[in-house]
Amino acid sequence: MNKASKLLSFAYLYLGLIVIIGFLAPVLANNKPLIAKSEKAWLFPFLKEGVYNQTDFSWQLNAPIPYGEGSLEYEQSKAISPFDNQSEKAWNERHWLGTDGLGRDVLAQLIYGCRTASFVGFGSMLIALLLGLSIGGFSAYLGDEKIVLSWSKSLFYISLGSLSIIALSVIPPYQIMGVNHIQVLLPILLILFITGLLFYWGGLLLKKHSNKSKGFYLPLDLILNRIIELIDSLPSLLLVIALGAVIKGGIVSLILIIGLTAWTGIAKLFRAEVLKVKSSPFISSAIGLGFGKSRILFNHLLPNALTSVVVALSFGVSSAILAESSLSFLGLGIGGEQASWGALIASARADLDAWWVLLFPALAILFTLISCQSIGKRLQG
Amino acid sequence: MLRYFFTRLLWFLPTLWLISIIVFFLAKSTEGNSISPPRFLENMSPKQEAEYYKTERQRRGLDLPLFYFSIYRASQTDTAYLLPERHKKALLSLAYHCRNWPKVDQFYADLKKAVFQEKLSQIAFYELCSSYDRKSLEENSLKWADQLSALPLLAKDIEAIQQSNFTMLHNYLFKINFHGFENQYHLWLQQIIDGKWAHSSLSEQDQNKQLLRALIWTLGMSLTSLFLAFVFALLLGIWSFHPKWKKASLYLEKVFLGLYATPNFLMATVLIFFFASGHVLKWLPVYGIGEVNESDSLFSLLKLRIPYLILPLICYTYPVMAYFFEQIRSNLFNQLKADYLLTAQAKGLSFFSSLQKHALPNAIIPLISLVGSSIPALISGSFIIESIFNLPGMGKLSVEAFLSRDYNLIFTITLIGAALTLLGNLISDFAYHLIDPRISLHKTENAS
Repeated sequence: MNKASKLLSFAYLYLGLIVIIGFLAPVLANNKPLIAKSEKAWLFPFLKEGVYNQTDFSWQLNAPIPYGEGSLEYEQSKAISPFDNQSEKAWNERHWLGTDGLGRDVLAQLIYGCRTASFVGFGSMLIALLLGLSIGGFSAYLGDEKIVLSWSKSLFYISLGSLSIIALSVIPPYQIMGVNHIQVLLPILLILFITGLLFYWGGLLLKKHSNKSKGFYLPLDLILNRIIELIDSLPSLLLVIALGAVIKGGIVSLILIIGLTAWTGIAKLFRAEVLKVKSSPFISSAIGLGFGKSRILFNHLLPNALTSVVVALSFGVSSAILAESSLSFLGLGIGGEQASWGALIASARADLDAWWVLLFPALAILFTLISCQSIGKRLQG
Repeated sequence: MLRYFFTRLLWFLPTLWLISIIVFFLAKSTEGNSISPPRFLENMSPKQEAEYYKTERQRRGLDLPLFYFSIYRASQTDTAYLLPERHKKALLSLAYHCRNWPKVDQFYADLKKAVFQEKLSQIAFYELCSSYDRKSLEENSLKWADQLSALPLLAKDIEAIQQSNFTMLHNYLFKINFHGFENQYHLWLQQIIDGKWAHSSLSEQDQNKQLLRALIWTLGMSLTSLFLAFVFALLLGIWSFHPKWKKASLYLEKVFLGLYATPNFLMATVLIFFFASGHVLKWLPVYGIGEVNESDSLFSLLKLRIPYLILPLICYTYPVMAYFFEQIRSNLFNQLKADYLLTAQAKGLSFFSSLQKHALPNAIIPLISLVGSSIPALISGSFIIESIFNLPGMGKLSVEAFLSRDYNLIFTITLIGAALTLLGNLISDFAYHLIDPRISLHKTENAS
């Protein structure tokens, strides 16, 4: 194995480790016991939310690091270094990486930060993928000259569209209280399904009776491209902060916001790739050989076009993690009890004597971002 | 070519206008745009409270409709902006479930009249206002039946609501209402164009001066760092191909990979730790921009300011420099296969000379378009760097605005940032086509 692929396998290993640690975080670092046996039954306290008070167990299994996300060290008032004399603690209660100024264990915060980073990184890129691939793909595949609309066809589609909007108005506005939302979800899905079917059958019917010489081309590519450019022209951190002022909430809304600002990059890239591949000779020979449209799409177009999207994905994950840490650093991120590497670095800034609060999250972020970017560069290569 | 420029310029203003509409509606969805209850709420009678809300609304311009037109359900109303926040949700829900806004409006008006004349207790008022569907209305009216018995008008209103028999259709049909130019969006746009960007306590002149100063600081730092990054990346990029520096260039590449992956807040904190706090060295000041007198000469002004600006400039520059370095290297690698380099070397130029004189101009061209697209990244970076180093720029202003819930300022700055980005893209596209006349201007949008 040469040096480059060793670096790459280290990158994959490290990212996998981050994801696994993030997934197992409540099991690895928790101030509640994992398994506890009272005289009545076996309990799993670490699954229960909230403050934990019971101490009369006959036997309990603690997490390897007995500090949770927000557990504070009440006796100390200063940060504890990893090299300090912590002899008054039991062996597994030692702060292996020290604490910050408030007394929170740095190792526990790192572990829960892995969770935040992997959720935000991969979750937001999933949303960005869904949006970007669909819009970019439609824009490039259908192009400017695929959709032919005559006046009757466009009239039909506009009326069908407005009927479906009216039908979708069955969704109550979010301000309305006293609505059983599950009751509304089923009719919405039904309406969307029926509308989709009607569009499809209507399209088939109109195609039979259509006259291609009469009509105008719907410039779908132009419209969608302008929309993508519009949203892409906004600075991303600004938009994230602005959307964060609108959509309150925890980690899920942060994932949504970062995903909603990152999809344009993927859409642009995917569109460029599909356009490039569409005009390549092997696709035209496939069409000439008479392959069906979905066969060409799934067997020939997509595999070649998706290669650069994978590259964009790995860079996107790194920029999503970067955005989340930057927001947590500024204090505008998830906040509250939830740990994040950026928040740790922000608390390190308050007390620069505590070098351990700066060093370990810095190394964590650094290695994560370097891994994502080396993987991306390698896939680009 | 002129036609291309003209069409691009023509697209600039409508795009900006569309962005302003999006930004406006985002701004209106935040909580900061509703009127919060005053601090002395407990001592106010409902009449005084209503007066307070009315004057506050007029002062902040919130008594106008939102946009030029509004689309609303037939069972709701488009005057919802006039309702106080506390009662709005419940009243709209009531109108939705009973499908009849005019009767709910009448009910609310009569409730207010009754509580102003003190014929209804305040608790009864609040509870009746918070009924959100038929069942809760019935519960509340039964609960306060003794007070309602003295108010026959109110009882009639409640009965009218309960018996309203509009069909479900009213919830699903939409109505459009046109409002003309007297709306909040128009007012907001006018304020931005006039230059009144923030609602702070300073006078208008001072506000404008403050914002102009912030804009100059951010733009100045961004453009300086862009220039420095370009120059350094160019120098390092071309010198990494020199035969004597082959080994060093591999290490340089790894170093730049690490640099690119470093978040800028991390780099800022580490730089402060090493160079500004006393722990390792204390060569540079930690934050601020230094105090200067107005009458100092340019030289002493520079001498005082520069130590404060070194660390922020480094933080702005290094990611852009790393990115440009990578791009130049990959472009030069692509150029290495070209024939003209072989010809130049056959004619007697050294390898490095031919690279420098012929390949480099070809390699720089794609970078010009990258310069324009780095502006959003620099604006995003300015948020963090200006907050850390306490520079009076637009980033710090918007972070402060967010923390003090001055949402109008955030969205104004979003609009300015979007305008700058569009302008930057426009200028870099123009420069791109100016420098390389070979690029075709037609709809070959394969290269995005």
